[in-house]
Amino acid sequence: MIEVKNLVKKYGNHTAVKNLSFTVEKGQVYGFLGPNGAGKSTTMNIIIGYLSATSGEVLINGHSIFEEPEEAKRYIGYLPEIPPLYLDMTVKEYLFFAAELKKIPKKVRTKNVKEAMEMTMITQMENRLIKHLSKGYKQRVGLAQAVLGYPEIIILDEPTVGLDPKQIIEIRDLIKKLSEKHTIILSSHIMQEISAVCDHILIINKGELVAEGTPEQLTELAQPTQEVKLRVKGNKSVIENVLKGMKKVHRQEFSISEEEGTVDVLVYAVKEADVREELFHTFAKENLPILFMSAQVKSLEDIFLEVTDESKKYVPSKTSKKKETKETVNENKTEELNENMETVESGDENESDL
Amino acid sequence: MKAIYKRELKSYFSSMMGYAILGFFLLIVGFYFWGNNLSGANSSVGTTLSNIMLVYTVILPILTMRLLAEEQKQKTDQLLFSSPVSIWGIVIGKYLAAVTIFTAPFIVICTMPIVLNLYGNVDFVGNYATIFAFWLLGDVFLAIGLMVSSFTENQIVAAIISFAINITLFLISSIASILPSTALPSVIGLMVLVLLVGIFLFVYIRNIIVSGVVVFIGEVALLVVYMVKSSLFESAFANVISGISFMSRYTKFAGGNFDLGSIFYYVTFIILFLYLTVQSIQKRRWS
Repeated sequence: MIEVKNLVKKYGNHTAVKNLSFTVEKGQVYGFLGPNGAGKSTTMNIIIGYLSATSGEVLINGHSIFEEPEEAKRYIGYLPEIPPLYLDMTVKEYLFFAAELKKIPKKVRTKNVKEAMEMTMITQMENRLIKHLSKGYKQRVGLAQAVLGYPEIIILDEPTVGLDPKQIIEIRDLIKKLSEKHTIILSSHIMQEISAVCDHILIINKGELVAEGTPEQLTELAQPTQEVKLRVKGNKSVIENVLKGMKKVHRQEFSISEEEGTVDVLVYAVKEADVREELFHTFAKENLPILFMSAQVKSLEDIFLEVTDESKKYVPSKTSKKKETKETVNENKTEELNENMETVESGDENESDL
Repeated sequence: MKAIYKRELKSYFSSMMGYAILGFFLLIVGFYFWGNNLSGANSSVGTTLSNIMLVYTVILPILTMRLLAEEQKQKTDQLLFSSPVSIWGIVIGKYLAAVTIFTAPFIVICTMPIVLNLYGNVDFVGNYATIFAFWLLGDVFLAIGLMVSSFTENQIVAAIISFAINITLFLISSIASILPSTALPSVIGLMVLVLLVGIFLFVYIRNIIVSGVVVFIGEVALLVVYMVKSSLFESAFANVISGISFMSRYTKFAGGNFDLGSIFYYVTFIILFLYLTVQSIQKRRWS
C-alpha cells in the first residue's frame, strides 16, 4: 500500500526526518507514536504530498508521490493536525467542495457527502457555517472530509487533540469502524490512544524509527525476561535455596511482605517457557504455600519512554522474516536489558493496566 | 481547478468584498464616463479608461490579496495540496476566479461605445480594442497580485506589496521621461536595475551564489560595454524603463493603434507571473 524508503527531510541545518523506512500493509491500523517534534507530522505531510522530501521515496500503491502526485493522492484521505476548513462555508458546501476537489464522480457525490456526514454524526450541522462550530464539530468535519469517497488509505494526524473524553471515545469508535474497510495511519503522542486502536505501531523519535511492531511484539521486545511476583509463606533462606535450584530462574529480589511469616519475591526467569507452573510444583513439593502469584507485564508506555528517552535502536521486525528477526532482537536485548536490570532498584516495578 | 474556481468565486460574495469592489469600480468608471465622454463630448472611451487607471493599483491588490495568503494562514492549503489537483490547476482556478470578478464591470464598460453612438459617430473597433487592452492590463496586475499573495500568509502585507509594485509600474513611464539621457546616469541606472533583479532572484531561490554570479556578470558586462562604447548608453535606461512599462503599451491602444505585439507582451507577462506563483508554492514545499 504505502512504501516509504530512506526518507530524509532537512529544514536548513535541522534534520526533521532521518532515513525513515517502513511499509504499510493493507487493512491495518498503523500508529505513529512519538514525542512532540519527533517528525510525525512532517512524515505524514510528505506521504500525502504536501511537503517534498530532501531525499528518499514514497510509493502509494506503486505510484511515487513525487513523480505522479495526482495519481498517488487519489488513494488518500488526510486530516491534518489543524483541520483544513474554510470558515466562511457551510459544512455541506465545504464537503461538496472537497468531494469535487477529490474528483469524486458527480453521480455519487451527494450520496458520499451524506454518508460521510452520517458517519461523523454532523448531519444536523450541515447548514451551519463552519466558523460557528465548536472544536469537536470542526474536527469531525475535517474527518468527514478525510473519509469522503472512501479512499483506501486514511491518514489522521493527532485526530483527538483538544477533544473532550466523550468525543475522544466517539472518534476512536469511528476509527475502529473505518478500519474494517480502510487502511488507517494515525499519529499521536498519547500512548493510550495508539494502544487502543492500532494493530501496528511505529515509534518515532527525533526523526528516526526507533521501534516497530504489533503492540504485543513491542511488549515482547522490551521484556526479554519473564517477571513473576510471588508471596510465599515460609523462611526467606529456604525459599532462596529453592529458587536457586531452579534452572530457569536467573535472579530474584526479596522484599518485606505486609503479612507476617511470608516473603515477597520478584522472580526473573527466561522468557521462552512459562515459569509459573514450575514454580507452583516446586514450592508445593517443598511444602511452601504460594499465597499470591502474578506475572508482570510491561506497558507500552514504559516501552515508549524507554525507546524515546534512551534512543536505543530496536530492530524493526518485518512480517516476512518475523521469527528470526525477533529471536536475534531478543538475544541482543536480553543482554542489554539484563545489564540495565542489575542497576535497577526492586521498587521499579511496572504493574500495568494495559 | 473547477472546484477551486467555483469556491473562490463564491467566497468573493460570501463577504462584502466582491460587492464593495465592484460597486466602487463601477462608480468611478461611471463618474469619469459622465465627465469625459458625456459631458465632455468625447467619442473615445480610451481617455476615460486612462484616467481611471490609477484605481487599478488599489482595487486589484484587494481582489488578489486573500487568494493564496489566506490558505496558508488557515492551513487549508493542506487540503488543496493533498488532493489530486496539480499546483497549476490550483493557481489557474484562483486566477480565473479573480479575473471573472474583475471582468463583471466590463459588461457595463462595453455598453459605453453603444451609448456614445446615440450621440454621434463612434469608432467601435478602436473603442473595443482599447477596452480589451485595458482589461488585459488589469489581468496582468491580477497575476502580479496572485504571485505576491503566494509569498506571505498575511493578506494585508500581500495587498501592500502588490500596491507598491503596481504604483511603481504605473509611475515608471513618467519616471523614465524625467531621467537624464546622458550615458553615465544611464549605465548607473541599469546597474541598479541588475542589482534589483539579483535581489529578486535571491528572495526567490535563496541561493546567494547563483544570484551573486548573475549580478556580477551583469554589472561587469555593463561596465565593459560602457568602457568600450559609452554612446550606446545614451538614454538607454529611459528606453529600457519605458519598455518595461505596461501602461505605455496601453496608451498605444488608446491612441487608436491595435498593437498585436502589446497583447502578446501582456499575455507573456500573465503567464510569467502565474509561473512564478507556481514556483513560489513549489519552493515552499521544498524548503
